[in-house]
Amino acid sequence: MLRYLFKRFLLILPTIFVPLILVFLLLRLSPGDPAGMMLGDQATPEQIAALRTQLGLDQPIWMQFVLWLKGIVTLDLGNSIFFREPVMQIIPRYATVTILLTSVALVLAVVIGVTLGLVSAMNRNKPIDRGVVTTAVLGISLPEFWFALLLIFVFAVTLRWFPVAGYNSPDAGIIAFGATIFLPALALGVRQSALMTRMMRSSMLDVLNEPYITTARAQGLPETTVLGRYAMRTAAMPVVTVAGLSAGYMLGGAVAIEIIFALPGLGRMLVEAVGRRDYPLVEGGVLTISLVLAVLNLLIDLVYALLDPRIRYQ
Amino acid sequence: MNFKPTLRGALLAGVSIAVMAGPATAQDLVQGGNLRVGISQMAPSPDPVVTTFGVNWMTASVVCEALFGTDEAWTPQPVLADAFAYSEDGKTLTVTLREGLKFHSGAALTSADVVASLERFKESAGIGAAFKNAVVSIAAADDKTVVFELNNPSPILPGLLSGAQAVIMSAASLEGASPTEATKGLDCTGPYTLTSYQPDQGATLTRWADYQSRSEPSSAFSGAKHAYADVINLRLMPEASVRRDSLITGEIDIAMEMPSDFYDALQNDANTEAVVVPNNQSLAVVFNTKDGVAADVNLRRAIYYALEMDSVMLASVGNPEFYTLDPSWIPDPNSFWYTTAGVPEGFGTPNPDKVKEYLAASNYKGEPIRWLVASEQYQKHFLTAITASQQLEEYGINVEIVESPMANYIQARADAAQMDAFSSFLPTYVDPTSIAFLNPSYPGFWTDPEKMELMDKLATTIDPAERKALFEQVHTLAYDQFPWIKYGTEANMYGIRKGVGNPARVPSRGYDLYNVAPPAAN
Repeated sequence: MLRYLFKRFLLILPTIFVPLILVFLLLRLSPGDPAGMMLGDQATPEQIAALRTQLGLDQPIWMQFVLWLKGIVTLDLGNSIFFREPVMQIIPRYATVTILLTSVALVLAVVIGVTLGLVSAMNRNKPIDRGVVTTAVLGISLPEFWFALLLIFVFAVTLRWFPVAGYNSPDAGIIAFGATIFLPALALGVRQSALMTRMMRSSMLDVLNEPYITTARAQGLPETTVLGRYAMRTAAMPVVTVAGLSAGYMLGGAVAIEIIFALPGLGRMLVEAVGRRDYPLVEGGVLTISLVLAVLNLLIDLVYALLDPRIRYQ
Repeated sequence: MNFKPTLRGALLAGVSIAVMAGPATAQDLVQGGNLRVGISQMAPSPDPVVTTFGVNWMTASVVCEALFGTDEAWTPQPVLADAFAYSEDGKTLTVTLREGLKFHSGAALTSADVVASLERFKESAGIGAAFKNAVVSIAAADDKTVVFELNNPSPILPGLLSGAQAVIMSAASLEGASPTEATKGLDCTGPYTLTSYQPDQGATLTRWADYQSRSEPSSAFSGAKHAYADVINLRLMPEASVRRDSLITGEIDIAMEMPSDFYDALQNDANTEAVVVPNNQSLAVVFNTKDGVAADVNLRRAIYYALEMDSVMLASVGNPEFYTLDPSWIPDPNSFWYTTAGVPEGFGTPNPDKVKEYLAASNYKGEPIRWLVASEQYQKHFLTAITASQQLEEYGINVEIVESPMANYIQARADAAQMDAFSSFLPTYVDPTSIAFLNPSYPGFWTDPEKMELMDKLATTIDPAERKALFEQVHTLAYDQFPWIKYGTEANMYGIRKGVGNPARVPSRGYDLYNVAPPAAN
């Protein structure tokens, strides 16, 4: 197992470096200028050129690349051009919000998806099943930003149960945090919950037809034990796969939700950093997302082994 | 020769207007409560010196003060300055500071702080460059006296020193900061202290108990500052619909920068009001007068006479109530510099005969005019450009709209080889010498010898009437050569909760949140 983990960690390196190098080149080769964005639209070309020199942006691209690579290898991501703070200090502030948002969204998606999928499978071809399947199709078709605006209109503007936008960290208390994270997490998770509902329903229907379930029932085991201990465990495997993919999708897709709900997350920070051409911050953000996704994939593989005793990693 | 009376007369010309224009209900308002303001964007730092994006100056406008501040007639008035006087030859300006003023840190305001702040401002972009051109040196004669040695006799210094970028910070807080590197906080003298600043969430400003207000009636950035709210919360809400909804639900008291589409929603809600601030800024297209196809003056003239301004403004603003077809470069008629000198008869109405006449006189052969627009300014840039291009096409004038993110747009327009025109806007400036479009190195590069001579005279002429006449000559010249074309003047709209006291209804008030009272306090 340890050997497997070591191999996987080695494989993470190219997973991270390839996108990082691509981002470095794309940022430098695409038009746009951080100096112009810093000084604003009233600055003259001379003032912009002077700042470019000061920031080292007038150096040849290969020299910038060597300096950048040296920084990466020594775990120095440099300072943000705009914030003038080390990127290593800025990223955690924003990544924490996105990770919390994605985690809550994932929990909501799994709870909703597994519950509805189970209910649907247990009531196959009954009105409740058709209702769940139709709702799931609708959920998959909904654009997240539109659903987010709908949630704001219903729960914040009309019912006034939640604030329209803003963010309270968990330090402000669980209720204050929950009030600001629930709607964004729901908006982010609804599409994934619809996918999981369909996956869970389909998987559960397959498992319920397996001989060992019939055997368990024939032995007189209570239905809750049959479902909870035997059927659910097997049926959950595809859902775990979807959950892993969903987590990655939601990490990347949180941008729109973070903008709409004014959450200070990594996605919004990245979009703004790209707009300002804050090269070190963009590179730090991409590195963080690559790392999180790589670690997430590793965790999912490990969860497989926990759920299915037949799986052994070497 | 003594310049003092004339200069003071010129600078204080707007005082009487300003006194009358003080908030009518100010005496009814009381201090207390929190003022919660939804804003669309925030700068990485509250330091106004490091950027010329005006929208990023909001925090500093409330927390900091300059030697001078503009009143509601856009005339500079003393703020931190107690008195000022020019020397006999007009080449030295002496400013005396008010007694007993302190920074938020508790340190006393001295002339050393003014020198440190303005030396930094001098090296900054935008108006700082104009200030640098005007002064030879800034020196502290004593603790309360600052002496500016000027290149030429010039009346423009108080105007240059009344901008948001010319704020005075303590010298201690400026250590380690450069004109492009922001200070850690804002150690200033204004009515509010900066309690917290989180670039992607918001800022908290708390009333400063030791603030010493001026005694004159409030007028924009001059006169008394009432500091009605105990705390001002600036909350970042990039989405306009979220700001609108937050206003309707009462989560904020003011929603900045509302699209005109939201007017009905705000007016129809019993608890909110759409505040329309007329004459906010001019929408324009600026031409590359140096190189390329638009350097041909006859082509620019043909373009002007081909445009129907009403359609262009309607496409951009969306509602005729929110714009006027006013040709003055100075959008606010309250400004001393407002003029329509030289505007051809029938502004805004196409004149096909003139178009044909000027096209025939030009060297234009149907080449595409590369017209830059910034994606972030979709309404002001893209919609005006696309409407204008459709109108120009009827006369065989071809436009190639180049839409790109702001970072690319700023870079591309600075290169005379990459662009022929770009969409832009023009607010009211305190003094015409500060108008960016008139700077010869600003993209557009208008270096006509007659204009350069007029601008030199404008910078060194003292008499206000003579200066106005000179500016009218520049205005007239531009309405002959068209280095840029103005379509019209757009209003600004923002939303307030009912009960917000003394909201700004004129563009000169800008972000004077210290004179706005929260609903709970009324």
